[in-house]
Amino acid sequence: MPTEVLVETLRERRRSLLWWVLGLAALIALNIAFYPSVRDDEALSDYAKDLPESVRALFAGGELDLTSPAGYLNSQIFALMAPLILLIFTIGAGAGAVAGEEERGTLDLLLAHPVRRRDYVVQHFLALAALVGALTLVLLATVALGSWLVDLEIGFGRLLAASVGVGLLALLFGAIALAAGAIRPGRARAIAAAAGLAVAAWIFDGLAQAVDVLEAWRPLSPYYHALGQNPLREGAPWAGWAILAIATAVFVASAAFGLERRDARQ
Amino acid sequence: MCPDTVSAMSTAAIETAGLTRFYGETRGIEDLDLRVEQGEVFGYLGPNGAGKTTTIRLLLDLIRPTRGRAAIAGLDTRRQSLEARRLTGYLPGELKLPARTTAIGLLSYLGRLRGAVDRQAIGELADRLDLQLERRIGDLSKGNKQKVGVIAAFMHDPELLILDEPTSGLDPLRQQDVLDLVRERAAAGRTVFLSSHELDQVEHVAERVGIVRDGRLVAVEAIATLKQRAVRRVEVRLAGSAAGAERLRDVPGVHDVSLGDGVVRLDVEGSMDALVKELARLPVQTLTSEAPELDEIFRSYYGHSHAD
Repeated sequence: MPTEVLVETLRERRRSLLWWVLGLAALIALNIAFYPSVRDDEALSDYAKDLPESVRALFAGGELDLTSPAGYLNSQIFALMAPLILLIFTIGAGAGAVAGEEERGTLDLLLAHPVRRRDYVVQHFLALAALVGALTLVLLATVALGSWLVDLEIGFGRLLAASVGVGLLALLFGAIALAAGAIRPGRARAIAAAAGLAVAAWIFDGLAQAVDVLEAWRPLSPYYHALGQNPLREGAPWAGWAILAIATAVFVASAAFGLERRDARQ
Repeated sequence: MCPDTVSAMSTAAIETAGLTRFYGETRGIEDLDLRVEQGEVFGYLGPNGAGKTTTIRLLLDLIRPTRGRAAIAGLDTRRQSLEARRLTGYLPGELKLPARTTAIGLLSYLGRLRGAVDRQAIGELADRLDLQLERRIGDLSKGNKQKVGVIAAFMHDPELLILDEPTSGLDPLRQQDVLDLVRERAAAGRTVFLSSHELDQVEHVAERVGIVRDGRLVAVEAIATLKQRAVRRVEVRLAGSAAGAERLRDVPGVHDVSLGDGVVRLDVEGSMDALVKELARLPVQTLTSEAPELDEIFRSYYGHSHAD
C-alpha cells in the first residue's frame, strides 16, 4: 500500500488541525470550569427531571441529574458538543478529499499520475482516521485533566469509552461524506448527505428513547452504537463499536469502488 | 535482433481503435483510429471543443470510453492504466494547482507519486523556464503556474509526453522555451503528443498532425503537406499606381483578390514565392501576412475532396 497521498494529506492539514485542537480543548475546558459552580445547584440538579424524555435524551444523554459527574459530562460534552465538533471536522474533510479536490480542479492532475484510485481513496480515509484519532485523544486528555482539576470524579475507562464512541461516530460520517463525493461529484452534496444523515441519526435515537414503538429500532442509528448506551456510565459498547467499524469499512469500500468506476471531472 | 527489439519497434506510442466517447447525446470523440509512432512529435489540432481534450483524458483513464479502446506503448489504457501512466508525462489543458503549497512542495509530492524524481531535474527545468520554486503557488501568475505544470510533465523524463495546449498562458519567449524542451525530448527518442488549436504552435516541432473537428479525426498529414495547403491572408498597401495589380489574379495559388483604395487583399495557398515575385513589379509600401487559421486550412483541405 503506497502512503504518499496519506503523508501529503496529513502535511497539508497539520496547521488546520492545530486550530481544531485548540478550539476543542478550549471549549471543553470552559465547560468543565463551570462544574464547581453548579455542582451544588439544586435547581439545575432537578432541571432535567422536568424535561420531556426525548429532549433529555437529545441534549443531556438521558441524564436525570445534571450535577452528577456523568450527568454533567454527558449533558455538557458527550451528548452533543463533542460529537458535533468532530463531525463537522470529519464531514468537511471527507467531502474535501475527493469532491473538494475535484471542484478545485486539482484531482485531474493527481489521478493522471500512477496512483490507483482506490489507493487514493483509502489513503485519504487513513489520513482522516489519524486526524480523528488525534482529536479524540485531545478530547479524552482535556476532559480527564479538567475533571481531575475540578474534582469531578469519573473513571478514566468510562471517559475513554465515551471518547472512542465520539471518534468512531465522527469517522463513520467522515467515511459517508468521502463516499458521497467519490461516487458522484459535488462537495456541497457530499456534505449535505453526511450531515443530514448525522442529524437524522441523532434525532432518531433521541426520539426512540421516548417513543415506545421506535425503541426496538434504535440499533438503526449509529448514534445509538456510539453514545446511545451511555458509555460514561455503562462502559464500552463493544458490539456497537464493531458495528460502527464495519459500517465505516463498507462506506470506504463504496468510496473506493465509486471513484474507480466513474469519470473524473475536469 | 532479439525478439524484444522487434516488438518494441512494432509497438506504437499511442494507438486507438474505434475510440469513442459521448457525453449523453453530445459527441466528445467518435471512432478515433490513431497511431502515433515512438519517437514522433505528433500535433493534435482542432478548434476548441473539437474533442482534443476528450481524447487526451481518455488516454490517461481520467474518463472512460463509450466504446473502442486505446493503448499507450502497447498497454491498455483501461486495464493497464497504472503502468501506462507511469510512462507518461501529462500537462492538462486547464491546469489547476493547489494554491497553498509551494511549487517545489507540489513537484516533490508529484515526484513521490512516481516513485522518486531527481530533485536536480526539477531545479534544471525551473532554471530554464525561470521559475522560483520556493514561491507559494497561489501567489504565482498564470504563466508561472503553467511552468509548474510543464515541469511536472517533464521532470521524470517520460517515454511519452501528452501536452494539452502546453503554450497557453505563456508569453512568446517562454512558449519557445517549452517548444525547445519538446524538441530536445524528441531528439532523445521520446514521443510527444501535443494538442493545439493553432497550427503555428505545432508547425515547428511536429512532424505529423492530426486534425479533429466535431469529434472526428478528419485528416492525418505530414506537417509539410499541410503547410502547402495552408492559406494565408495577405494585405498589400501600394505606394503608387495599382496598375498591374490585376495580374495578381493569375498567380498560382492566389484566390479571392480584392482591389481598392491602393490596398490589395488576397488569399494565397502554400508557397508565397510566386506571389512575392509578382509583387516585386508593384510599388509595395507595406506587406502584411496573417498566420493561417486552422479553420481555413481545414476548409482548403476539404475544398479539394468535398464539393463545396
